[in-house]
Amino acid sequence: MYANAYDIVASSMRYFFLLLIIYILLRLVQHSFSEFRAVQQIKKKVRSVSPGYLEALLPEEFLGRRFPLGRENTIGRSKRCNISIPLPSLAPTHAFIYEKKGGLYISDYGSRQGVLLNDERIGRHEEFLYTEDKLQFGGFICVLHLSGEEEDDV
Amino acid sequence: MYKWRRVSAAGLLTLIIVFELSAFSLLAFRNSTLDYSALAFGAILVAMLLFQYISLTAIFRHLDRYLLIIANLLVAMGLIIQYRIEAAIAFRQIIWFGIGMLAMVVCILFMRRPNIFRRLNLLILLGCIGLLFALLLVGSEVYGARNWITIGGQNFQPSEFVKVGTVFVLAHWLTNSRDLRGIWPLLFYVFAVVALLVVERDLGAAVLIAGTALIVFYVATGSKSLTLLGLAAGSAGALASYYIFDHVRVRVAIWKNPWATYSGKGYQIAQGLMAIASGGLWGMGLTRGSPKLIPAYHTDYIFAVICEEFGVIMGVCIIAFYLVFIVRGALVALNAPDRFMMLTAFGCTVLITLQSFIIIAGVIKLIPLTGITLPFVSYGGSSIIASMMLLGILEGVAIQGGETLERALKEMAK
Repeated sequence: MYANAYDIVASSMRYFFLLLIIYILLRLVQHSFSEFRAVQQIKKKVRSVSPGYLEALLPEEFLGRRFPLGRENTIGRSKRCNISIPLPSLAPTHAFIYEKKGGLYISDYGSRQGVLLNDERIGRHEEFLYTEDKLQFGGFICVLHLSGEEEDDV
Repeated sequence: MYKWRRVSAAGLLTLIIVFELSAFSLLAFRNSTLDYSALAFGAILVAMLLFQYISLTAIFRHLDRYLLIIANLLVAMGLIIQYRIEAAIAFRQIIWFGIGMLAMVVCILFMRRPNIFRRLNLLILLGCIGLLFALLLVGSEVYGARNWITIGGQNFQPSEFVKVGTVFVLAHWLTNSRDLRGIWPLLFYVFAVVALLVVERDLGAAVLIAGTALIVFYVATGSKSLTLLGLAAGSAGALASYYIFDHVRVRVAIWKNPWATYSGKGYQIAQGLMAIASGGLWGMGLTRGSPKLIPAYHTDYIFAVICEEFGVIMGVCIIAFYLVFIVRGALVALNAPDRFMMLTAFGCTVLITLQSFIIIAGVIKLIPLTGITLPFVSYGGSSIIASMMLLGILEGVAIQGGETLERALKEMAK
């Protein structure tokens, strides 16, 4: 008798367990979506002010100088570049740093020295940039700092 | 900033507690005398989950609550099934879960200073290889695989901790360089670890580490050609091991036709399939199935037991929960403050994803069966501690990402 009653309860509770889990799953997905969109909005707001800046390491006279970055930046020897570095090892327009789809990219403008990202030459196509990436244009070496992303030793 | 997120996550936790308490109440009544220990067990589990959630969210404002909730749900589900099979198993597992919670907090704290792992990288690399090598010498064979070490009467599975070490090794070397020359120590490490695991017959872990390394490599370098090369190398290795090792051949044979060797090696797969089939869509109901007929019912085959008693729909839901876990893990990785943490978080996500895929696919005979556990759900001290550590690393990265974003907002407001 007892076993039968228990069996009936156990069988009917199957549907209860299942519905509960399915409900939890759906709410989870829904909440994840809305939270994702909210965080994207915040990041966009932060990025729209300024994507970040370049902090110079070498040569000595530039050490510590910060070059703020806008949406699009040309870097080179020429005075017409957004970031003008008067060193002979740079091409007149050496590289191009720009924002695309919420991320920051760099591309080599066709300089002879090339552009080194974390000590590797980037070649023809664009490269996605992360904070603390090391960039080298000829004799000019700097570190990228993206706004909204912080590093260890501040 | 995230007030409504707090409320909705807490709401989900409440539902999980409801689920868990009703399951344990049902278990308490299964014999004609009321099983008080079942009710007590359920209450203790609720207390642990609440304590963990409240304390973690109070201390770390940017904790990824949904990841924690998914993990809690999976652990609760695992404990329910384990208690149903045998109360002693569940009692042992809940203690391991408690230790796992501590390990998780330790990992979260370590991720505040992730450079520690970068500096200790060589130690981790050699340590993992050394650990697996030691298994060759002093390891004891359980279920045909030589991947257990017994210390003080307790069994440990070092390959689980090698998993965690691999995440850091992968992230460190792939942060610096993107070509093959720069990462040769990493290649040596992956090769050595996978080879040792294959020799020790822990094929599941071997496939897991090889697969994780390949995927994280692709994400870090973006180089399709090199990844395909790696895939080809891995397949060649798998093919070679098929011809060299007898135990690999056996696994493939019973995968193709478990019914032929039903009374011998194919017994486990056949029983698993029959269990899932008897469960049907809605399951047989808690305590109405026969889980003990399946070998490894509380570890590798726990998914089949869940399908037998709760139904295939529940099994699909569990797969869906792992999928949500993956997506949220990937989001945590994308919001990481720097490249090393991004790769670490991504490595953890890929590990848990791949592991659940490999074992579930093995249980339903989609791929040959391998002896690895279902993360968070399966019984196993090393398994749950390693899974909680991976969760802790993910949460650590999420917290760092959130704090950085908050700091940036404050800078802007000035």
